[in-house]
Amino acid sequence: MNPIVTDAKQIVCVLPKGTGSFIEAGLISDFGIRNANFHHARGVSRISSRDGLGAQQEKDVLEVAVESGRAEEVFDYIFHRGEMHKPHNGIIYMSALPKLSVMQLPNLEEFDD
Amino acid sequence: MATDDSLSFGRYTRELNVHLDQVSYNEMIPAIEFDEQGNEKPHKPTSIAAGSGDIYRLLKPYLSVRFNDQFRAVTPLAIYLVLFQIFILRQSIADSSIITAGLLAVICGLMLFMEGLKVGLMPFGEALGISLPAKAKLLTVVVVVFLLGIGVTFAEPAIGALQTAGSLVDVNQAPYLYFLLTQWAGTLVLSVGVGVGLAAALGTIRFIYGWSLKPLIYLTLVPVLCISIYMALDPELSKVLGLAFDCGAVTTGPVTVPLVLSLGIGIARAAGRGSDSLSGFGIVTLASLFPIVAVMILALTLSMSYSPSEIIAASTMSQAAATQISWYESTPGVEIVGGVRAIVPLVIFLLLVMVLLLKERIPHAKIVSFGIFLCVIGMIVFNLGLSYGLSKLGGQSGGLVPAAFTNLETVADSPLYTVSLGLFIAMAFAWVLGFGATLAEPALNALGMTVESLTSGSFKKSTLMYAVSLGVACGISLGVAKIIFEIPIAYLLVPGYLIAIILTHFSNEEYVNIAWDSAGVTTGPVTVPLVLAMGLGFGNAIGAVEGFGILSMASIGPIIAVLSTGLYIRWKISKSHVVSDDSLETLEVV
Amino acid sequence: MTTRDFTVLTDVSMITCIIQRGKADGVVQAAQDAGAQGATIYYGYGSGVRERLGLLGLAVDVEKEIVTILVADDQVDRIFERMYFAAELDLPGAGIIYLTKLEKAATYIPREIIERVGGAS
Repeated sequence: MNPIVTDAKQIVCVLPKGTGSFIEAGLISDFGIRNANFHHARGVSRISSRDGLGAQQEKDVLEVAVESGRAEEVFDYIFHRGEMHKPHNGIIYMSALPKLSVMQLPNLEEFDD
Repeated sequence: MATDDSLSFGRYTRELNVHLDQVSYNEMIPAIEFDEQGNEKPHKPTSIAAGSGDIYRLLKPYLSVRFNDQFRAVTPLAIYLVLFQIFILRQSIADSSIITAGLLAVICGLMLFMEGLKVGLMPFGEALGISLPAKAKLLTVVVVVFLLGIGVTFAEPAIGALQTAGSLVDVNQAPYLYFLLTQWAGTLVLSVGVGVGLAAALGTIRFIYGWSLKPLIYLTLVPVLCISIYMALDPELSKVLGLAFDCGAVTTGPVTVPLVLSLGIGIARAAGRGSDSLSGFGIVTLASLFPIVAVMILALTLSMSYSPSEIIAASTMSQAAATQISWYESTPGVEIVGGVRAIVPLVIFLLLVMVLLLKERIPHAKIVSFGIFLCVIGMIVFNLGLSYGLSKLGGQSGGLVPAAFTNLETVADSPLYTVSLGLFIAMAFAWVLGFGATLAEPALNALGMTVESLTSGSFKKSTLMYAVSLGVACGISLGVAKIIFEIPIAYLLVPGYLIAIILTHFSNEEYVNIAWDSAGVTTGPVTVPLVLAMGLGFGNAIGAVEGFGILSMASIGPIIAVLSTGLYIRWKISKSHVVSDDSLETLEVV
Repeated sequence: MTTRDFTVLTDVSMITCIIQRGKADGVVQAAQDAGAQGATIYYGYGSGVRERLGLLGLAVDVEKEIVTILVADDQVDRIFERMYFAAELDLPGAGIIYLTKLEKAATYIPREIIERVGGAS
């Protein structure tokens, strides 16, 4: 049975359209984190006009839950990989999760026998 | 935050204006029940018995929103047609009460049909699309969608409309065109069907391998334009060009588009290629380009096997037999059969694929079948309304418009205006008619709904609908000009498609998908009869060889309009970024 | 990886509001009028009263819009309240709104603003 972690963080970031899968791939290759999800959304910002064409832009929203131990590291990683220190590249935020089930992919080699 | 002895003004006013209560959610949950063995019983919420008042409160917003949607789409067109006829053409409306009832039927029919699409047909198509590539081999998938493409062409009787448009054609003036529309009519429909089928197959393969739409458009357009130019140079073949392009425009109707879209979305989702939210689009594009090629090839084959004089000789023989067949029987039965035929066989085919081939069950079967039932009813009511309301009104006005600038026997003291003013009025009429009719088009409605959902609302349905309608309006005006001034169709289509290619090159993939798909959806059951009535009116008045080409102009217009909209939005966003960055820099200086 | 420093925002909360589809724009407008900077909106499907109504449940839209807005802790109550009323959540079946405390957030902050608030860390 998969263990349940009681001290975890959820990291969510709102990204420009099309970058969600790039970051998701990075989380897999660099951290082995496979439980990231992303979905599409539309965003309204301070600088966009209130209405009219192009007032609301399409965004990718990436959500990932990690154990507290590496939350900071993942947070920083996404921030830099998404180049969020540059303008118009989105926002990232983190909140505490009281419970998290850790997802582990079955080890395929064990099933080969 | 406020300290002990100070109170923020905001909190003070809030206390005065809002009564704030805190309740623990713990006190609102139902108690857990146990059975005799001490096991927990699953909690089943009691079903709510709605009283008549509740039913009214639930149904009223539900119905009124949907009714108003369609009311807003249809009414301007009707009012416009009436005003135009009374004030500009100074003719009274015949059978006004029947027409009003018909318009009401159009609105109700559209409402039922759209709701049916949303809860029935589209979820069904999507479910099928998701399980098809997962459970069947690629070859099976391709064969299924190929058959579906052919079936769709036969199910939607828009081809019949083209035959009406062809009723003007005189065998001596345009023998190939005449032959295609009479002797080879069956072959024509079949070749269009094969074109649509191939398009669906290629579109599906594209989803599975995640190809971009742009190169496919270029690759298809090169032969289209080359054959067009070749045919335009041949005096006999050039008369078939209008038909070929119009065939591409009419193939995709109000049932095909949502079905193909939802199927495509499902397949694209199952294939999981690309993170693009609009990756299910593109089949409609190919389905409006491929038939053009198919019909052109058919015409070329025809020209190689027969000479014009042979055809003229052959058709004068069979003339007597041909005139005996009447294309239309104006009983209400036609509409009912049409509504059932457009939906039921397709649904049965897909159902068989789902149950027998994939051995899948239909999710939410009750709601889905209720939705499909709504679709059929809606389609029938809509068709009835069209024949008794919109088409009648449009046919009256459309037929009368040429009276503005030429002499019509049915209209006293025509021409009503000088030639230049009359022509201007006619063009303006065509423009507004195109705009209004496209807004009421159910396939566009469905496309808009899908685009809005898939882009999470950042691309509004109304934006797409207005952009497309604008494009259609301009296209139809040009098409009318083509008939009035007898401009060869190639002079309009080749530059039009070239502009579209250039815009495509600069646009984002998502707008390319939407724009080219919207070209296929514009010409449906509302536009086609209205525009054809007008085209025939013009053609008769002027004595044109054929009235084709308006519809194809109506499908090139929206491509350009939507692509331009996309480029404009991109420019506007980048400008707003620049402005905001600049304002920060000035902040630094200050 | 090269070290680059970035400024983290604290005292941020997130308001999430789930309403019937089509109502989000009004709610976002109300929040922006009350001082919210931006909003993210997406579609979702919800269940609840619909399943308990039988066929009549078709009249209740399954499609919902979910609005998430990041706000400063100081303005959270005000915006929360404005959104509550803009979404007409005091009517039955209209939706739900809730607040999540965030530990931190980060985005592009113009250097001038960091200097002005003096929070260079």
